[in-house]
Amino acid sequence: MAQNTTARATEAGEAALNFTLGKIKFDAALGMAATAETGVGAAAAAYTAISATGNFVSGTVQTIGAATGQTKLTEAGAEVVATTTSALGMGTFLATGNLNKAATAAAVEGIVTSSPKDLATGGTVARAAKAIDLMQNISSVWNSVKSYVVNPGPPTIPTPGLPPQ
Amino acid sequence: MERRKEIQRAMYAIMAVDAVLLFLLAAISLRKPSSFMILATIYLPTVLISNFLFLRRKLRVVGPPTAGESAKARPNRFSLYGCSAIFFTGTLYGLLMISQGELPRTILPLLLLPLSLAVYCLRVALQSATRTPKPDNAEPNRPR
Repeated sequence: MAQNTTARATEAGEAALNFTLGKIKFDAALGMAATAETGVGAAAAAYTAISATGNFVSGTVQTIGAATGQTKLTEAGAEVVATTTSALGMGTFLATGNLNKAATAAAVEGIVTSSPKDLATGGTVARAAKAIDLMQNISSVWNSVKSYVVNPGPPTIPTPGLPPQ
Repeated sequence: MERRKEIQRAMYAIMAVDAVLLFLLAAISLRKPSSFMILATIYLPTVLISNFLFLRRKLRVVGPPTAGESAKARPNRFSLYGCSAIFFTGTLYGLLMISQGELPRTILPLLLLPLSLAVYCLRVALQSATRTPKPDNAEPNRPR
């Protein structure tokens, strides 16, 4: 019972996130279309509109899941929607044939479902650990990018335990 | 302002049609999972091409913005920056997933897509920032 309540709350949270992302993307697509003077602008607006639609439909499906309690079915539906509306998700699905990996790739493109879902599963300690892990990963990638920009060349990876020369 | 409303209407129409098709696709795929592969392969290119053609036709019908309109038309820059941030974060997250082995290296070139969108959104936002008109009562810069 408590597990289902948590799943429904997670689903509702993800739905809210999807609606917010969809609104941002829709407004951005509108801005791109309004200022489009070439076909590139129209193509970018068309693709962003598809991505925004994916967020809205995922959000609607997840809202239905949160309201009815059929979270497993609606989560599968949201994964299908996210994968279908993302070129990265579709590319991954065609390359691997694995819907879970494709959904992760779709999340990569639009930050849709997988990242908040992964962070929201498990106990409090596990969730905190995942959040810290993600922050550390982002921080290390950021540092690598920064060092590459400041000092062009392959990023140097410090070796722990060795004294500085 | 009429031009912006026309484009807005076209975008609503595009999204409404896309959403209906997407709901149908999701419903069919959940009932018959074997059909997902074919439907999903057809859906994205078809919708992308039809959206693009419809939008381009609409943009040709409404015509390019006049000088006065383009000075007054301020796209929502917060959304453009937000959209750029979403796709930049997505690209970074993709790099993380690939480096951790969660995603295959073969999809690395596909990361150029969200990256290009992020750069394009940022470019449009910055362009609209420089195009923002000064208020009418703004004092002109005078040499001291």
